[in-house]
Parts: sequence; C-alpha cells; structure tokens
Amino acid sequence: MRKSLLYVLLMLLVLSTTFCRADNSDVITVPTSGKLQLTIAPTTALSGPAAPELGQELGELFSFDMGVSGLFDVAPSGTAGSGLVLKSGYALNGNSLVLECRLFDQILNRELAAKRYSGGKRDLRRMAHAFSDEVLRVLTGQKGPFTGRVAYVTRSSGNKEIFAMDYDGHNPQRITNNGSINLNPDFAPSGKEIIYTSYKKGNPDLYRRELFTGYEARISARPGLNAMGAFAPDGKRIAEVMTKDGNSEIYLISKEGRELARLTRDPAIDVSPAWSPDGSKIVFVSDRLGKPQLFVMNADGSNPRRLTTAGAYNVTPRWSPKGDRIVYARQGGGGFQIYAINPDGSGDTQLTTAGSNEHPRWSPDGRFIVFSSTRDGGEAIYLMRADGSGQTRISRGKARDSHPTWSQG
Amino acid sequence: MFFLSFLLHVVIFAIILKGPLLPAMHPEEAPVYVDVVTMPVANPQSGMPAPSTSTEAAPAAPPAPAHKPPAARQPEMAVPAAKPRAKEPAAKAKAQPDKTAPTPSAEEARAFNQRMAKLQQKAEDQRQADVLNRLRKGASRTGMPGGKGNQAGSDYTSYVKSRIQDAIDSLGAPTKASTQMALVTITIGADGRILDYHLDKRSGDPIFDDTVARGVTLAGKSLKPPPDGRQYRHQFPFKPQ
Repeated sequence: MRKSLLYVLLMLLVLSTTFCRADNSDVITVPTSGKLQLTIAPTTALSGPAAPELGQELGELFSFDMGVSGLFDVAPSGTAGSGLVLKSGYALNGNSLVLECRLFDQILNRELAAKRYSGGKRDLRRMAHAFSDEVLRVLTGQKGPFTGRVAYVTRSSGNKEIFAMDYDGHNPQRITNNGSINLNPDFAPSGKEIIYTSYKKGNPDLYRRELFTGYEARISARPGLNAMGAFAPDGKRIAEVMTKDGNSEIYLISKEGRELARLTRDPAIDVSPAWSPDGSKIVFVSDRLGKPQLFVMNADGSNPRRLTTAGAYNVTPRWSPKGDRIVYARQGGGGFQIYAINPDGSGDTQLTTAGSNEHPRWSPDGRFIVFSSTRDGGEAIYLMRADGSGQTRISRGKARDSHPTWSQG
Repeated sequence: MFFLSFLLHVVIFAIILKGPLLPAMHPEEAPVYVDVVTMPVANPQSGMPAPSTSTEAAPAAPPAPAHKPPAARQPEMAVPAAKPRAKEPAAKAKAQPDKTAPTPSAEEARAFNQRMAKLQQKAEDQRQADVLNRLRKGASRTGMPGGKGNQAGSDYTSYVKSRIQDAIDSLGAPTKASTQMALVTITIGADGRILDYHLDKRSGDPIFDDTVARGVTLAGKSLKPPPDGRQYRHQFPFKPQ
C-alpha cells in the first residue's frame, strides 16, 4: 500500500512537471553586453562665487569613476542623452564647500539618488567619490569602492616607504618615514589601521599603525622574519609568516601580537597567507611538493589541499571579498602574470599579458583588482576589473611603486 | 486499490497524451501566422477583406465592420484577376488583315477559344468568391476580433512584445552572470497608455530589472491601443541574452 502511494505521488510529480512547462513564446530577451547611457551634466554654482576649476575637476572625476566601473557609456557633457544624467552643483564660501549631486533617470523620469556633502574645499574629491559610490549602490545594490584608499610601497624618497593615495592616484600621503625598508602593507577591515613589515630596527618586524591617530605598535618581533601579515575578516586576528622555529611557517596572532596558534607544520616554505571572506579558510603558498603552489587549509591549519595545478611558480594569492575567486601571480616567460582561479581549482584564467604584473589585491567590493606592473617601463600601480578588462594606470609618480592594497572607504 | 489503479491509469494516459513520450502528432498550440514582410501590428486583419487600395491610401480609412461583410471587392493581396484571354485571339484576328474569308474551321477554333476563356474566367471568379466567403465567415485564423482588416500581423501580444523588444535592444544592460528571468505584468489602457507596470519576479540584478522597466517605458510611449477597445493585461518574461 505504501509503495503504491509512493508510486502515485511520483507519477503525479512527473505529471505536474509535464503540464507545468513554462510557455516561452512571450519571452523578451535583454542583451547583456550593453552599457547604461550616462550623461554628466556641467557642474553649476548653486551660490557664492563661481569656480570653473571645481566644475572641471568634478566632471573629470565623475567621468573616470563611472568609466572605470565598466557599467556606463559616458556621454560628453552637454550631450542630450536618453538614459541617466548625473548633475552636480557647488556652493563655495571661503574654504567651506557644499556639494550637491543628483542622479536622474530620463526614461523613467525618476530621481535615483540625491546627496549633499559639506566640508572644506580640499574635500571635494572625497565628496565626489562618495557620490560615485552611491551611484553604484543605487544601480547595483552594492556600494562602490571609490572612497577607499590604496596603500602601496614606493621608492619616491629613495627608500621603500609606505604611502596611501586615493584609488585614482590622487592625494598621495606618507604613512611611514623611517628611511628603512617597509613592506607588505595590509589594511584592517575597518580601514582605520594598517599593518606592515619594517626593518627600521634591524629585524623584519610586524607593525600596526592607527591611520588617524598615528599611534604605532610593534606587534611581532620574534627572531627572524615577521612578515606578510594578513588581517582576518573579524579584524581581531592576523595570520603572518614567522621563521622563529627555523623554518618559514604561518602563525595566527592577535592584533595586539599575542601568538594564538601555529597553522602550518611542514619542512617546506609556507608563506603568503590570505583569508577567505568568511574567515573559515586560508589560502597560502607552499613548495612542499617541490615548486611554489597555492594551497587552501582550514583556518585552524587542518586539511591543507593543493589548489593550483598549472604553472611552476604561483605566489601572492588573495581571496575575493565575494569568496568566488582567488587572484594570484604566476611566473613564466621572464616575468609574472596575474591569474584568477575558483576556490575549487576550476576556472583558472589569465588576466594580464603586458609587462610583468605582481601583487594583486581586491577592492573591498570585489569589483576591481589593483596590482603592480612594469608595462610602462618603471613599476607602477594599475587597476583592472575582476574579469581583467579596463586595465588602467593609477599611480602618477615616476618612482617605483608596488605592493598595493585597497582599504574600505 | 481500485481507486489507485484508476488513478494510475489516468495518470499514465495523461502522460502519454500530453507528455514528451510520444512525438507531437497533434500539436495543440494554435498555428502562428508569421508575416515576413510586416512586423506585428496592434490591429491586424480580422478575417475581413481589406478595403480597396484607393480607400486605404486615404489618411483615415473607414473602419470595416466586424460583423457585416462589406461589398465584395478585390482584396488588396488577392491574386490579380485573370485577364480576359478571350480578347487576345480577337485582337489578333483584328490585327490581321482579313485577306481571305474565314474558313469554318478557323471560326470553330475562335469560338472554342472564347468558350475556354469564359470557363477560365468563371473558375477564377469562383475561386475569389470562395476566398472572400471564407474570410467573411471568419474561417481564417489570421487576425483578431475588432481588427480593421487593413493591417497584417498576428496578435496584440506579439505586437506589444515586438515593441518592447525593440526598445530594450536599444538599451542593453551590463548584467551579472547569475541574473535570472524576471516576470513583469503590464496593463495597457484602451487608449494605448501603460496603466500599470508590476515586477512580479525580480531577476536578482537591479540593473537588469531597471533596464526592463526602461524598455517598457520607452515602448509605452508609442503603443497603439488594444484592437478591441478594452484594457489589455499580460505577463511577460524577460530573460538575459
């Protein structure tokens, strides 16, 4: 009896799927290759004195932000469009500035976003980037990364110092000034702290610095190497590489520097830890099978498994904030190229081809990758979308810039 | 057990009848008439013969009555009427100088040709009359009730779909790979304006959903009214290409 009932239910299931086939005769297809039409209207003075240079700077900034996003066909200012319009106006009173920005949909006849920012004249770019973030949030449901800062290592002063700049290369600001070698900067998830390795006291030690107060602490100064620190997504723990036990291994420490756990135990070299966005796994580099390859282990060090199978020298991995891709650099042909791979080892894709490209890092929203490249001669910081499109140079100096990392805005 | 057996037989019979087990010997879907020359229009012919060419050329064509058949006249798309071939031999006969008196055999041949021409003309007239009768009786599946009979096309849904598709093709949407199909119900008033737009199922990508809304809005600026003068409501699926 029970079998019969089961059979009847099964048949009814088959029957329902047979009869409930969707009628596709009315399906309208939407081409996904196009871009949104966006016109950036000329900036107007709302009150106070006119400042044409502000309007020009705003226009260029919005064009760059929107163009980099890859979502828009940006029409020149003054062009009558039939899509979205970005309007802005400013009120300048001495050094204080009020900026009003609006995004309008001409077809739906609807205002999508409207923001007013107040601050100093020097905050103009930050205000405008904030509105660019808002535009992406309104249209895609996810905030843009344009107010984030990019920290990097530069040789502009002769030594290897750490600077931070806007994501588009403007406003470079010095973070370290010790005349020594400073390496591997990494932002805390909050964007308010940064860790890096410095040789300023002779040994390569790990430092943590609060960006707004300038307070700095040496959090890991064990004998030997204390380097490649990577903040966990909770912002309370740091995975780092130490050689205090005679071999390069990955350890877990608190952000105050207390050792919590040793994660790898292998006679081979284990370096470059990077966290999955949920904090449950760590991808790292190991030559335990002979050549440097990417491995993934649980956050407690258990169950390591090999990730990359192609290429003889794969290094500097970083897990995307969305968790779906891991970007890394592979040596070959006299230099490095950047690749991305799925966490299950599938979908290994080359993203760069020109010059030598290293040190890839994700933007906080996972839309972009920053990296250093030698394609224009000297080493400079570049930006590309997650699929490798839209590769653009962002660092503006002539010095050698490398090791970029992108903070939360 | 009898009930279970009966139910099973019904289920199996229904699967065989409706399911993919048998080839579609009796397709149930209504035939779709595709006019490869004319795009779908709002008011396709309703099975009535079209007015004469001179009437159609006028800016405001008089509406063809839906229930009262018009006077029989040559349809626009009808095969050109057969020329009275009977005249040809006569013309030829006139053109030729009548040098000799017609022989009885020549006269018989001419008479025979005339009879044949009349028969052919009669057969052609009968064929045209049959076509017109079929159209008057509404036997044809082309067109829809309320149509004016002066436009070709399939139905109003195809017309609306075509207009929205054109509008959306001009927009494009940089959508995510994971974007799903969106379902939208559109209500069009008797005057052709879009009265209501309802997103029944989101695609998972706001840009995709907004692009659909923009496309419908763009198309709605130039929609013709539904042919039966009533409110039109339909759910359209939108799929990333």
